[in-house]
This record gives sequence, C-alpha cells and structure tokens, in this order.
Amino acid sequence: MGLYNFTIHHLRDMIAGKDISAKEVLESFYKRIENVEEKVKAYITITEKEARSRIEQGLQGKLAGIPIAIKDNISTEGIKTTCASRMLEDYVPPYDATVIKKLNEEGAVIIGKTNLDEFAMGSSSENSAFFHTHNPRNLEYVPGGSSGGSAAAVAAGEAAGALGSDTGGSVRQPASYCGIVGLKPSYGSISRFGLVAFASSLDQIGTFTRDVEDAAFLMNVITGHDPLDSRSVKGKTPDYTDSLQGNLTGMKIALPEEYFTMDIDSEVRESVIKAVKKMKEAGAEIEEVNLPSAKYALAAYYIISSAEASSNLARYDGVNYGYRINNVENIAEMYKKTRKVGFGNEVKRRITLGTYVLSSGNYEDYYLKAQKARKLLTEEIHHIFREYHLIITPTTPTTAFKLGAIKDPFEMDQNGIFTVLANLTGIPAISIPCGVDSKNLPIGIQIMGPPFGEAGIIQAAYTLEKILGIKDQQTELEVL
Amino acid sequence: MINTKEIEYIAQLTNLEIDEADIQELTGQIKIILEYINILGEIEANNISASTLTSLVRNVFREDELKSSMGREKALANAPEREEDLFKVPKIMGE
Amino acid sequence: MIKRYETAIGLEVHVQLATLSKVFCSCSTEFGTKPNKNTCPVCLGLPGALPVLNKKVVDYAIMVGLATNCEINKYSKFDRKNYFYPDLPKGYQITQYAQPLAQNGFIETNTEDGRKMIRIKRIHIEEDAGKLLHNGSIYQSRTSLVDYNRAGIPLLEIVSDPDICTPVEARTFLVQLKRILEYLGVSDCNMEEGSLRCDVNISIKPEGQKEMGVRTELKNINSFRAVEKALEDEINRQRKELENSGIVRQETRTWDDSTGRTVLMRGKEGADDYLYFPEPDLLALEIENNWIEGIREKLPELPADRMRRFVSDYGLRESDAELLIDTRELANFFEECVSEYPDAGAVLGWIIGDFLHLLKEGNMAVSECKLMAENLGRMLKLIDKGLINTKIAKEVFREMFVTGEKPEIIIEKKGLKQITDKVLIEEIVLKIIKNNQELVEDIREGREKAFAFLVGQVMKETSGKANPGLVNRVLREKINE
Repeated sequence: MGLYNFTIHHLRDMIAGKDISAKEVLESFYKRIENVEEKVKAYITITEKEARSRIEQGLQGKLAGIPIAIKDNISTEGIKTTCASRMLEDYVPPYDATVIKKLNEEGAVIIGKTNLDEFAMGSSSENSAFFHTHNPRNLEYVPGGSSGGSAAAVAAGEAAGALGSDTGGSVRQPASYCGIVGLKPSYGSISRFGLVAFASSLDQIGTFTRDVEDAAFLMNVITGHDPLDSRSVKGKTPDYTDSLQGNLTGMKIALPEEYFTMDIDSEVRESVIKAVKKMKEAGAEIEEVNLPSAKYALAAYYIISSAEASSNLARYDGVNYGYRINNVENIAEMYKKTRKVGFGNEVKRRITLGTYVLSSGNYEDYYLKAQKARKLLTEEIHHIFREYHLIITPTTPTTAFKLGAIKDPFEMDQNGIFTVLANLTGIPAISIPCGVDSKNLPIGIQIMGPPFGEAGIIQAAYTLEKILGIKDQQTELEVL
Repeated sequence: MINTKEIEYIAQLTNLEIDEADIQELTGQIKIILEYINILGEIEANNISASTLTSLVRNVFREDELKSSMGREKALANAPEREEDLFKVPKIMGE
Repeated sequence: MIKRYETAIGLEVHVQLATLSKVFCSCSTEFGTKPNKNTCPVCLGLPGALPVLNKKVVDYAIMVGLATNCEINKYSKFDRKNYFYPDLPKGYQITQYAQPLAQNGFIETNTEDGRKMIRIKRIHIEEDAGKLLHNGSIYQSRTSLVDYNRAGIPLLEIVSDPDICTPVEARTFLVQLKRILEYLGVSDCNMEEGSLRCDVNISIKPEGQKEMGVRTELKNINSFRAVEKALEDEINRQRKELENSGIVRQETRTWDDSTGRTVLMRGKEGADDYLYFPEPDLLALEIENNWIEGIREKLPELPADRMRRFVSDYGLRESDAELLIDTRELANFFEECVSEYPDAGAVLGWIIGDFLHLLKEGNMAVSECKLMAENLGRMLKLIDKGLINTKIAKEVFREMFVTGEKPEIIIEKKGLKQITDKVLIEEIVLKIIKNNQELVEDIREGREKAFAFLVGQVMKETSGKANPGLVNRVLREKINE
C-alpha cells in the first residue's frame, strides 16, 4: 500500500520511528500525483523542486517531512500565488503567510498550491480562471468550493493534509463533498496575515485532513496569536490533541429546527439523523432548539461578504503588481480594462453587489441591517450555547453535483445555507463524513461549538468518527 | 427595482466595465439577490449601532518600533512596469 | 453702492506625525530616502497584508486633541474610504470617518479685532498615500512614477469650523496651530517637505444674508503665505463671479504661484461616492480616562501658556513675548539666558535683536547656532563691568554666535577691550579737535550734530573700543576749554 494512503499521524510515527524517510514519503506522494493528477486536477502549481530541496536540508519538527498542500490564495514566498485568477496569474509573493511560516518551522513540506474558485468566490471550484477540479470520489462531479483543489488533493491521496480558507463554508462544504474532514476554527484563532482577503470579518484558514486526529494535529501547528493580524486572538493555544477522546457522555446537542425544516436531500437528511441517533446511543442528549434568525443568515452573508470583497479587491488595479493591460491612453482606461480582463464573471458579480450595498443611500438599508442580523444571530447562538455544548446540522443540503450542472449562481449559493452561520458568528465548525448516498457520493455532518470551543467539537467529531467507522473504510484510497 | 443603468453606474464606481452582452444578465442576477435580501427588512431599523464587530475586544496595538523593510527589489519585483526604483503608470490626468 | 461681503473660511490641515514607524506597519517614516525603500507588504497593499495600529500615533493624537481643547472620544474607530488612485495601493485609505478621535476644540487666535476662538471641528487619524512624480505637470506627463515610501505615514487631520473671516486670520491660525504642534514635538511641521499640508474651504455671502454661500475648495497650497494670497485672490474672484453671474460654482481649485491666481483643478482625484464602511481588519479604539490624564500630565507647556508666563514672570510686553515663543527652541534659549543673567529686559534686547537677525541671515534654527546661553550671560556681565561697550559687544556677540567661544577669549584674541585710559583718550580727542577746527566752532555755536560726528571720529580712531561715555565727557571738556 502506497505511503500516500496514510494519515499524517501515522506517517509522522513512521518517520519518527525511522521506518521510512521523509524522502520516501514525498516520492510516494509525487508518484501518486503523477498517476492521478491528470484526472483530478487539484493543483495549479506543484512545487517539486522546492519540496525536494527542502527534504535535502533535513527537517525537524512536529510535521517533519509531511507533505501539505496549500490553497492558492495563501501567500508563499517565491512561489506563485494566483488565487486562480488571471489578475494574479504571474504574481509571486515576496513574503510567506504566517501559517506557512508555522508549517515550515515544524518541518512540513509544501507539496503544491491548489485550485480554487477565483478569489475564493464560489462553491464548486468551477470559477477558477484556469481549469476545473474533479471530485476524486467521482470524477464527473465537482469537489465543492471554494477550496476544491485542497479537498480533492487530500481525498485523492495527493497530499497528507491541506490548508484551505473558509468564508461561508469553503472548507467544510468541499470536505463534505469529497468525504474528508474539514475544520473551520473560531474567528481569530488562525492568523489571516498572508491569506488573500475575500471578506475580512468572515475569512478563516481551515484544515483538510483524512481524519479528526490529523485535524487536531494540524491545528496545533497553525493556530496561535499573530501580532501581524490585529484580529488574531491572544492567549495560550490549547493542545487540541487532548480532545481526542472517544466520549460523548453528558454532551448536550442542539438541532436547530429552522435548519432541519429547510429543503434537504432525503438521503442526506437520513444519514445525518442516523448519525445523530448513534450519538444519542453513545450517551449524548439531543434536543431541538429554535434559531429564529436562521432565515436571515444567507442574506446577511451576501451583503457582508460582497461589501468587504468589493473593497478588498479594489487593490487589483494593475498599478504595482498583478495583471496589467497594455496599450492604453491613460490610467482610467488601464483600471477598467485590467479589471475587465483580470476578473471572471463571478468576481465581477460579487464586487458589483458589494459596491451597491455600500453606496450612499443603500448603506443603512443593506450593510447596517446585515450587521444587525449578524448581531441577532450571535446573540441567539450564545443563548443556545449556554445550555448546549454543540449544534449539529448537515454540512450541505445535497451531495456533490455534476460539473456544469448548476449554472445559476443564486442556486449555487444556496448550498452554503448551513455553513454561513459559523462565519457570521465566528464559531468553530467541523465537517466529517457520515455516510454516502445512492450514487456513492459522500455526505457530511457539521458539528459546531461555542467560540473557542474547538475542544468540544473535536472530541465529538472524533467520537462520531469512531462510532461510524467511516475512517477505516477509507484507508485504501480508491484507484482513479 | 434595480435597472441596467444603475448597475452600470455602480460597476463604473469600482472601475468594472461590463459589456452590453453581459449587463442584462448581471442586472438580473443582482436583482434576484436583492429580492432575497429583502427578508432583512423584517429586522427593526432603530438602534442599529455602528459597532459591527462580533468580539468585544478593543485596542490592539504595536509599539513604535522599526523593523527592517522588505527592500526595494522585493517591493518592485511584481511591478507591471517600472523605471529604476519607481513604479510606472500611464497618464493620470486627461486633457 | 459697494456691496459688502462676509467671508467664511474653514481649514483642513494634514499633519504628518513624527513617529519612528508608519501608522499600520513597522516601516521607517524617514524622509528623503531612495524611492520604495521603506516599504513592506502592508504599506504596498500586497494581497494578504493586514494593518496593525501604532500606539504612539494614538498618544500623539490625544496630545494634539488636549492641546487644542478638544473632547477626546472614549470610543472611536477606523473606516475605509474607497477610491482609485495610483498612490493609494489598497484602493482605499484607512481613516476615521464616522467616529473621530477628538472633536469640539478651539484655538485662540489674535486677530485685528482682538482675541478670537477658532473652533476645531474634529481631529482624526489616517494614513498618508504614496507620492507621484510626473515629467512636467500632471497634465503634461505621459506617464507617472510612484514612490510608496510615504504610503502609510501617520497623518492627523485637523479640521476647523468655518470661523475664520479673513486671509490674515487664516494665516495666523496656521501659525498658531503649527506652533502648538511644534511645542508638542509631534511633527516636523515642514510644509516644504510635506509634513504639514493645508486645504482651504471658502465661501462668501452678502452681508446680512443668512444662507451660507457656495463653497470652493483650494488644494495643494504649499506655504502659509500662499494660503493668505490664495484666499485673497479667491475672495476677489468669488466677489466678481457673484457680481457678474450671481453664481459661484462649487469647484476645487489650486494655487498657481507663478501667476498669483487660483486655477481650476482639472480631472479628479477621488470619487463620486467613497463607499465608507467600518474597517474590519482593525479593532475599535477605547480611550480610558487614565490614558488621557497620563498624557495631559506630561504635556509640555503650550505656547499660549508660555507667553502668559513670560509676560507675568519677566514683565515683558505681549508683543515681545510673542516673538520669543515663536518656537519652543527660542523660548527655551531665552529662559536659559535669563537664568545665566537675570535681567530679562537686557537679554530680551539681544535675543529679539541681534540673535534673531543672525539666525535669519544664516538661515539657521536655534539648535544649529553655536552661541551658548552661558556666554551671553558672561558678555552681559562684561558690559556691566565696563570691559566692553555695547558697540563692541555686538561684534563679540556675532563672534560668539559663529564660533561658540567665550567672550573673554574673543575680547583677548581680537583686542577688543574697552579703552578707559583717560590719558589716551585725551590724546586722541585733542588730535581730532586739532583736525576739525571748523566743526569745533560749529559745536561752540550749538550744533550738536557736529559733536556726535566728532565722537564718532574718536570712536573710529579707537576702532570703537573707547568708552563712549568717557569720550563724550573728555570731548566736551576739551571743546569747552
């Protein structure tokens, strides 16, 4: 069995025990990439040269020799960071994101930069300006988005783990579609310095791993206060591996009625309810609760994310980096033509919407209202967490869809209906596989906790993972 | 509600030039979202505070210290056009 | 009948704060370095970069707020002002729009009509943009060049209410404000280097009309004097407009020093709609009372207070005191001198006379000249002792200014000791009398002018070193003999 099949913790133990070398591990992954990448197309850039020379240096640390894939909207010094956009197709950052520094300090090997929806806007990775990524579980289907490439890379055995970013579900949803574990931490847990901003108050870097233990492990490395990010929280980072305990006794779990009465694919609903029942059998208490402002979540998300995005993307003007169109009369023309060619339609749509909701005359009706909705949701969530430890929902209302199947962007946005809540309220959320549908496509269950309650969600996810035994079913990756 | 002229104006505010062919589609898409967003109209408008942060933490600072800068070469490395140590851009003010 | 107009002028001053590092990153704020040297991902607006607020900027802002009698807001926050311009790397400026740091203050200004309070509407923190260089004017240049060294330098924007009524008042206000900032030590306040910039809003209305007139904005004026001249020209222009067409258009204009006229600014920097919203990358500011009081305690003595103290403690006239407090350095030097020689009046004469004159001549700041307070004291004591006369003292003073040497050494080196030897003076007086018999006759007839001339001649003979009093007496004596 190829080394690429193993989890991070397993590989780490083998490397530490000198059963295998870091070099062997890397070669195994590159071989796997060679075999399947043509079909999966997870990677925009494969950093073979850099990775190999790094192995030669001799690596130390918690992740020594472990190949990690990085979503291509996280800055890597000297390595192209394109955000899957023409606007940045040749942009090479002169600095590393803080999370990259942390990975490097612990000896990780960056194996490549993965595909995404352009500037992280989308939920299928079909908005990439370069190519589409395919779901390794069924190549005709989307891997999800916007971190589709990272999810696919891990699901296909092309990386031991990966980093993505989650603004409205962009880590959890692809994890759900690809049948792996995706974790979005509490807002402020992981530094955003170096993450190309989409929506500043919603963005967080998240992890893709094959199991919950790996997620805890990876979190230990990349979490922590960063003086370069003003919204990075202070305080000692807990050891998330302490939560790897298979125990649900006494855990009170809330199921928001408003979510469960929404339009959910019947197989998804069944699978999630079944998993919840198993949690009950294992000692958890399950109750229905009300989340009255749930209906406002997606609307608030639309407004806040597009408003912040429209401002964050104003810097792409062709002046001091990125794409610039040639042969123009003046700078006004340069701005317009550069942004016309540099941005795809989805990005333009969101920028336009964002500008609209911020424009004078609209600001009170839209932006302020959305922030109010956000406040209401946060209050309601806090209220729930005073009594309950966890909130559970399906990660997405359906399983993956076929490439090209959804053309209407509004329809596409609907699959974030369960995930935007965690971004709006800053709470941690993890998605783990809880079954498959009749097409053999993975179904994901989402477990959310109170702010900085990663310990609780990790423990619950770890226990559920054991109960469901799905992890063991995935040990041998399917041959593509 | 919203029409193509308004969308054109908004797009132009942010230096986005939308083709004739695409403007209808874009306007339609935005219209749908704006209709959906109307649900927020249920929320009462009074006492909306300007504070938009979800956390109550304030006052994050750094000390007034110098750290060595990135250096000119790195700064200019991605310049689409440069003249020695400066970024070059086309004519700013039209006649 | 000549219509009379009332003028309302408001000033918007941007001050660069003299912190070591920029407002949102740790790059140096040093002026005059090679282009794009003091840059980093944050101030270049690179993808993924984030701002972190420099605490000292807030300290300085609070100082300025207190020194201008403002209310310091307990809560304030940052906003994004979104527009496109090549010197603005992020496509937005981080500023304080909705909740500024301070407001409702005032600066006391001396006007022709007496003391006046010019109200400060608000003070807020923001970041500076980069610098554009053009080949010729911005209108002629086919390309432009951008230097981001200045991008991210901390700015304080100080906005006055339109309480200013004349161009002279505007200039006085600016001088007062600059003085306060300089005393606080928060800025270089150098308009040539761009660390102090001023935009002006001005409208006029017929006397008695309630409604305010249409405002025009004057930008890019680079000296206080130019502000005054630009305002004079603009008031005239608006008056003519009102009399001709009855309408003043709302415009942005700039000052053309070469023609002495304000000119319409073509093209637009800025936007129709700035799309302001709260900066999500930064947290709000909460300024507690103990922070404010801590700063208040450490505030240096402000110009107005110092002037009052000079008048009361040293018995100086207000106008003289105002000259002395012009810069903190000068005021400090004056007090140092008085501590060496406790006759404020005597010291005053030398400081506002020869000292200021020599500084101006050499285009120097107080800190740049070599004169030491101690030495002025010594010199004044030597005059008292009669070792030198006041005329020679001027020469000694100049020498001390340039070399920093002790007066005794200078006198010795240059042989400037006052001549008090009566015998010697008598000799010279007799010689002069002998050579000017006609004038002596004139003097005997009562022509005092001729007497002064002869005194001058004696002084000349002694290279100015003779004791003038003695010369006077001896000459009188000899003539009357």
